[in-house]
Amino acid sequence: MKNTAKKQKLSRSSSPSEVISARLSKSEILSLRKLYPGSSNQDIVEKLVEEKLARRDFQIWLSSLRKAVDDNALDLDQV
Amino acid sequence: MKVISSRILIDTSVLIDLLRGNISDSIWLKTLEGRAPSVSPITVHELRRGVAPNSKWEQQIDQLLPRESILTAPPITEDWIEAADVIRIYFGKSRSKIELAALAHDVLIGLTARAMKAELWSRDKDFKVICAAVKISLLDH
Repeated sequence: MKNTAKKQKLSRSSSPSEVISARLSKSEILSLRKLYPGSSNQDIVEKLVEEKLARRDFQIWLSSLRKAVDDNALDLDQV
Repeated sequence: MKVISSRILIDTSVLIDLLRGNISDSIWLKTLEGRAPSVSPITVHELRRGVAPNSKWEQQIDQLLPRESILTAPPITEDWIEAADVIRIYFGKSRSKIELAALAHDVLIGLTARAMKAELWSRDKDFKVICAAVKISLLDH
């Protein structure tokens, strides 16, 4: 609920720091700062978008693999 | 400073277990949290071997995988030499010739993860030895 409320505040004109504070907790932001010292807010937003897109596209591919298995078109014993 | 995404290289053994329902959604999602998933071209090759000839999936199975999700670190001569050494030293006397050939794929996956600074997730027990040998960490749950 809290995240939803924050999400609604975002718009196309939101700054990278607004996006970060809306999407991440303080501890997550601190972890990212430690992981990537010197990164700008823009860099971190790009990283979040990149990861999210990668996960989404990967899930789509996995769904297709599942369908192939269900269609008996992918034999996991031969993999 | 440009941020480098935190990548995780997912081995074929994990995908097989996932497709067989042996990995729960919660473990899958938790492991991928904050990480961009990727596979090696070797995994693409291994999956393709299981596709039924003349099925519609012959075309679709590779095309649906975004190319950005394939971590390609070209095996150069040094990689093949290192792979041979790992196999020779740690597995040589305990495996058949066919198994040794298959192990080359696994070591090259490990070397790809190392070259691309990606975490490696595998459920194949051989990777415990391989990852220790090539000095990378392994997620094996």
